[in-house]
Amino acid sequence: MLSLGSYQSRNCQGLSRRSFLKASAALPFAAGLAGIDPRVLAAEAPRAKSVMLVWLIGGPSHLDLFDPKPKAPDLYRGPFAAIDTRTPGLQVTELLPQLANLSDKFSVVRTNINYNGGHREAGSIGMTGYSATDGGEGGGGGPPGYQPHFGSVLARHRARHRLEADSIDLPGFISLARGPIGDGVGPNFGYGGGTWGKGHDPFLFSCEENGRVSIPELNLLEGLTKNRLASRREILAKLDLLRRRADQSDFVKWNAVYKRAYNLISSIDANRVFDLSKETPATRDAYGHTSFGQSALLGRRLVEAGVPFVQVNWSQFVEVLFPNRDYGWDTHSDNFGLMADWHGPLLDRTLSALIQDLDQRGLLDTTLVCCMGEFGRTPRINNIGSRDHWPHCYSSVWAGGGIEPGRVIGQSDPNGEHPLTDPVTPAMVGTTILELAGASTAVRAELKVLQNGGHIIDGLV
Amino acid sequence: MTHPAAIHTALLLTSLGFLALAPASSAHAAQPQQVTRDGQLKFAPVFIDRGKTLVYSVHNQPKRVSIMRLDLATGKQTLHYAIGSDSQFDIAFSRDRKLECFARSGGPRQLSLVIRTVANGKDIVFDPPGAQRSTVRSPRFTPDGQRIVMTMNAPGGQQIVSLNLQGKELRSLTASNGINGWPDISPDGKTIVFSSSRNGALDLWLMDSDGNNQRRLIASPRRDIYPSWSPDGKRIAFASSRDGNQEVYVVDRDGNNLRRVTRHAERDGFPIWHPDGHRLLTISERGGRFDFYLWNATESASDPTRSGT
Repeated sequence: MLSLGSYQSRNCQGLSRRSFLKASAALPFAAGLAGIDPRVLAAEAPRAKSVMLVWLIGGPSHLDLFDPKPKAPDLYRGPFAAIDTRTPGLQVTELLPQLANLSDKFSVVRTNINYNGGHREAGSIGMTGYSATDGGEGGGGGPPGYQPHFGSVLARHRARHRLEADSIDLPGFISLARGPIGDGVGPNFGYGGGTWGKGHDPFLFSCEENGRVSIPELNLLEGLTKNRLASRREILAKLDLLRRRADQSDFVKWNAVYKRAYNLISSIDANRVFDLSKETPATRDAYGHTSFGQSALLGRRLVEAGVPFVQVNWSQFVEVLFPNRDYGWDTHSDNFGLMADWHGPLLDRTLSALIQDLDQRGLLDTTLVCCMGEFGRTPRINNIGSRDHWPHCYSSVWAGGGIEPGRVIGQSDPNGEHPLTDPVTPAMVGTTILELAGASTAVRAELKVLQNGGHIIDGLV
Repeated sequence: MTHPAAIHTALLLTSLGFLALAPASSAHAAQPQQVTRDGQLKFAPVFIDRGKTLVYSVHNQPKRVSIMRLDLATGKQTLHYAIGSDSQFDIAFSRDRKLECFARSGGPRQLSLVIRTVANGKDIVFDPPGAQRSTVRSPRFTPDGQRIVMTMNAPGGQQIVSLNLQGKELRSLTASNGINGWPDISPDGKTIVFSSSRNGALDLWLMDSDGNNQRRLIASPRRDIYPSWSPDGKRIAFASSRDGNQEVYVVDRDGNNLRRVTRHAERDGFPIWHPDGHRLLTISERGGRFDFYLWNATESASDPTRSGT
């Protein structure tokens, strides 16, 4: 069930061609497909046909999830027990019993690092590989200060070297969230095209806990309601009005979104992908009836339909229990209550369901799943009994798509504060993802991305 | 045998997302009654009006947690307070129902305690001392209506404190290492049960109402949380992952006679006692949805194939 802005329709066919301008059928598609020749196929299929980046925005506590330290002092350890998994040498906390029982399907990296302790900057670095060149979010910069997101890179590569399995109807890079991800101050600048421009941003969809899918960008456009989308004449009138207005930025924004939405809605096959009612109730239940759970299921459907890169976001905002914010991982306070009540168990359910579902459908071998946040949280419990930002050492989970499962990569020190073995940088994360997905060293050199300091994470592949 | 009219009523209410409560005698061992069907993320339930109304916290909107009340006779769900931009949750009621208190986001602290006089809507707000991110959780009125017991963050951990109804005279009841949380006060007001990780894992502990005589009630290598006193003060229900998955258990107040109430592959939590003292209400995850279930607390879970829904 897909809706445009505030408009919701069960009958995707009824919403599509009749409701939109037919004259623009040749408009180039969104980020990944602009200017492509669909006949151009890659010479060799990569190990990962698709990538799912499960982004735990806000910074999940590594000590309370994938890197427990039961022998650490009280001020570090936290209250959750460490439990064994199917993987020798891998313990996780008691909040993750289902993942513990599935650990032969994934590997854990325990030495991730980031270069910034701020959410937006660290998030952008985590999704692009590098710090901003213009000061970034906190220094007066903008999106062009960042390298393109890993997803933008892959979408651009696949636009030129399409795999047979790649969708020609759907964007090459889709992000699932209620809106542009970030914190209360603003969005992550590194969430999209960066130096390549907004044309390489992901196409953003929102999926609610009931499976309703919408396009948040259209909600941002003033006056664009169901009625306004009802006819070609009204759309043209709106365009003309915007053209006459002095503020051209509105028109540019509207036009870009319109073109992308038009192409998507014009594709009946694409619309079917967004209808979660096509899934069995048991499958929908398995993922959990939360926005995150159903988004992960939608992500699997998008992968199945041939989308090269899908980012499933835990929430839109980093904050939790803040006015007008959803439910991020930024647990500066009440970390242990929140982790016990919701964050830990909900992650356990959805991530294990996703890995199992991909595996049972035969998709895991060709789908790379990477689950992580922008950083971890302070191993030392803070002055208000909780945990703060910690970019110096944290964990990530990897499955499928060429990953060797059942491994623990790297080791943190006894209190989980710093890596004891080689740190895994954001550039290494991006290099590993792109290499497995077919954007080789030569491709990255040609695209001028991820050339400095990146190599595949040792032992993971 | 169930009367056809009762079935009709149940079906009607089910269609409204609600299943009427049957009398206690009809509750079968290990086969709970499902009370709601909306599936929303819920927590911190409280019975009021002698069990006729349930008040609880729920993630009913993407960016807000609200306090809802459910009329168990009609199935009607209403907001307990008007919606603002803040989140409100963890409500408690004084025994005489003249006062209510709850945690609220959006003030100078991340989570403040609001003490509201029902008659005139006047609020007294307690902002926990310390950093801007300071919080309070799980408030409870003492049975004599003189004080409120709750959790409050502290350096390196979390402690249980009490304060008077003016939000003053703050007293620390625990001062241990680790996390102390989820306090509940015995019906006679003399004893507080709570969860503490001072020895490593989260175990159940007891203390006198003034914080003295702290002693461990029950322990396991896994977490024991959400304790709730029975109305007669003889038993304590709680959630534990001691058997791997989080389930609900009951133990006598002396730590003996531990028995498991739920047995299901998904989570069961937030148990509270129905005022009749025979039934337990839980928030149980079934099919990835979170709803209230009512269990007969006098019998233990047995065959897993018969339990859950």
